[in-house]
Amino acid sequence: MQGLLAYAIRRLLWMPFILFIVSFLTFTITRFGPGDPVTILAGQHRDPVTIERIKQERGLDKPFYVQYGIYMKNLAKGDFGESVTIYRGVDVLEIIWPRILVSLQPGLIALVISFTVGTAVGIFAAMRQGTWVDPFSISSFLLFQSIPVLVSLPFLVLIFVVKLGWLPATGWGGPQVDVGPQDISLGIFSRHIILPAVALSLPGIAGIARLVRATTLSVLGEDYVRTARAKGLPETTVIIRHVTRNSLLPLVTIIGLSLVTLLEGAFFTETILGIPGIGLLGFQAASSQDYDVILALVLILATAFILANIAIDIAYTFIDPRIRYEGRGSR
Amino acid sequence: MAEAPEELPAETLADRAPAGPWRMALRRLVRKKLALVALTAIALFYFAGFCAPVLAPKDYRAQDLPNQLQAPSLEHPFGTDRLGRDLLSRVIWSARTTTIVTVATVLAGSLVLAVGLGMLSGYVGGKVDTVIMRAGETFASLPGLPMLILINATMRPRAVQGVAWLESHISSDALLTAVREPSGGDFVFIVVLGLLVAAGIVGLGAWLLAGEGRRSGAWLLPAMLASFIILLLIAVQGIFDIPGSADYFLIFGALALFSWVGGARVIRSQVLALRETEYVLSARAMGASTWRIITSHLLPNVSPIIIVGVSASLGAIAGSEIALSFLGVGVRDPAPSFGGLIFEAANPRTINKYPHLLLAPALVVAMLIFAFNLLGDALNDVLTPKAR
Repeated sequence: MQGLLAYAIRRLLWMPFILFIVSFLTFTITRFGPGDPVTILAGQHRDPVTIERIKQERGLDKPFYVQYGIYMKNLAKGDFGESVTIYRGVDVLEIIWPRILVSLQPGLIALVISFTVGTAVGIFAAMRQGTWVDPFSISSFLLFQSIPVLVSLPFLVLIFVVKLGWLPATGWGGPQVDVGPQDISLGIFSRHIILPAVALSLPGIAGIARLVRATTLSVLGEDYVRTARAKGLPETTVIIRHVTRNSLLPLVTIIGLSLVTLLEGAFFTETILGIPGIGLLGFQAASSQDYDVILALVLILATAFILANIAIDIAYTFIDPRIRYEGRGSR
Repeated sequence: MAEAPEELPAETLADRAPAGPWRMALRRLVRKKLALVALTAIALFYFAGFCAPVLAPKDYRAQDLPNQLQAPSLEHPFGTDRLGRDLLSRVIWSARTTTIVTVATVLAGSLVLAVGLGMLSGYVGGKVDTVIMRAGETFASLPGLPMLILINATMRPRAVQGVAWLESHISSDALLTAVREPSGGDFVFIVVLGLLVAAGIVGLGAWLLAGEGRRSGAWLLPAMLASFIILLLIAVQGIFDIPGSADYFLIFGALALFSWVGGARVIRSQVLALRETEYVLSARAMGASTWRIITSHLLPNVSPIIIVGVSASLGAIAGSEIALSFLGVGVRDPAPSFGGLIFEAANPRTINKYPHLLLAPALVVAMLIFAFNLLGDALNDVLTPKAR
């Protein structure tokens, strides 16, 4: 237990360093970019006097490490700067915050879909090991895993929107809720959620199914499963009570990976379907050179990502006590 | 797991010559039909990529405005896009883009960075190990795609400048002028380059002349370095002819930066284990140089992992290039890329009227990445039998 605590503290202490490096790197990159904010802000009035004034106002005449210091000082107060091109003069945090809430909706639904389907397929395949069903079910989902979201989603649109007309073409809808800066739509309660959620969930299923299949197979060989069967328990009880519980533990490790896939997929679902989330925002910000927005986006995502990874690592040692006894236990 | 018993007798019955591990692996691979199909598909794709200028029936940039957005026909097997450009030619040239980016990224990221840093980290250990692994941890903790977008969106003018600088210094024309009328910095550059080449030739010659048994890697190192630089110079020449070549540099540079961590970690852990094996210890006891231990004891044992790692990462690299081009920060029009082709075709209105624009590039991409994944799986089974 002590080891775990020390491990958690060590990981958490390491985090500020990583965040410092990440923020410094990203900040430096944006400051070397084209279309510097000054020319964009000056717009029509490109005389030297105006440009000089804007530079001084924003501290852009100072070397970039001083600018970095100013940025970090503002960041500590929760100020991410303002948007320059997309929504001129609007606080970056106010733009990003509602959009994160929008992006989370298809993401969470996709997480649920891929984990339920993946687990079901994995257990199903493990139960039929040795027959053709096992490799067939796994490799058909491997095909889905191989197709990037930017390829699968247009096909889904072609089938379900254009040919069958079951789903709304594009956009985002649902009941409105007030989240502070602006209203967002709760797509979970509308048909708009289906396409992005399904497209996001497809690539993850195969990985989960394979992991569940492997762990289920190893659990099926355990003594306690044989005992349970020898007691004459019905097969479904054995599967649900003895096998599933133990074989699903390692799934925790894959959540982090799934989060990454979902995050990256959001760039494509939102660009293709026009969902006002962080993916679309990142796309717009990159193409219109709104660097403070991208910078804030990368920093927020990196923080979330690092925290999630630490939480998963710690959770894993909690869930599976064998990790601490590894090497000492005798079987 | 199920197929292991079937394989064993076949191998023991095979020809009597002692089969090396590579030949055995090859034999196991040939027995996997699906892997062979995948390999053929990948080979075809790369063939199309390398031979794009010969294979493409039309110029990928040639616009034919009266014939825009045509459905597939005999003249245009995949139809034409909104500028009347032949889609088949554009798909073939997109294969070239993907080919260039994947090969360059694998060379720079997976081979040089991952193998170099992984071996260094595992073999030297200590502070070097800590620094490399911490750097890797930092890179691994970054959200990949947003970072790639950021780098590609912001660094493009720098990359363009860089390529222009390279062109003015090391393109064949620039080199020739510098040799004819040497001046200042150019002169130093030429001298350094000449010295490198000379060192390479001397090193290679010494290695070759040293004779069996006394060949020391110490001579090979400068030779490899020099020949690497020469090859790089030659390879770079072709790039100056392509418009928008800065994009290629930017993409594979950024991808290489993010793709080495996983490979380096695996190689490091393998080297850590190998370092303690008896044959390495005895080699060291006999006074073998570090270089010799690395080249003749560590590298051969690590190379299956390298191959598995490279084949597993190829699909991801190709996918990233396509994704970046889709988002408009990769290869840009008129240079063709699958990402760009799919982006043009992917909005619902276009899908409705002109589905052929989507089908051709999307199917090729799906097949390619599926083939990469199948091959990666098969190689993993074949080369790391312990993992089964």
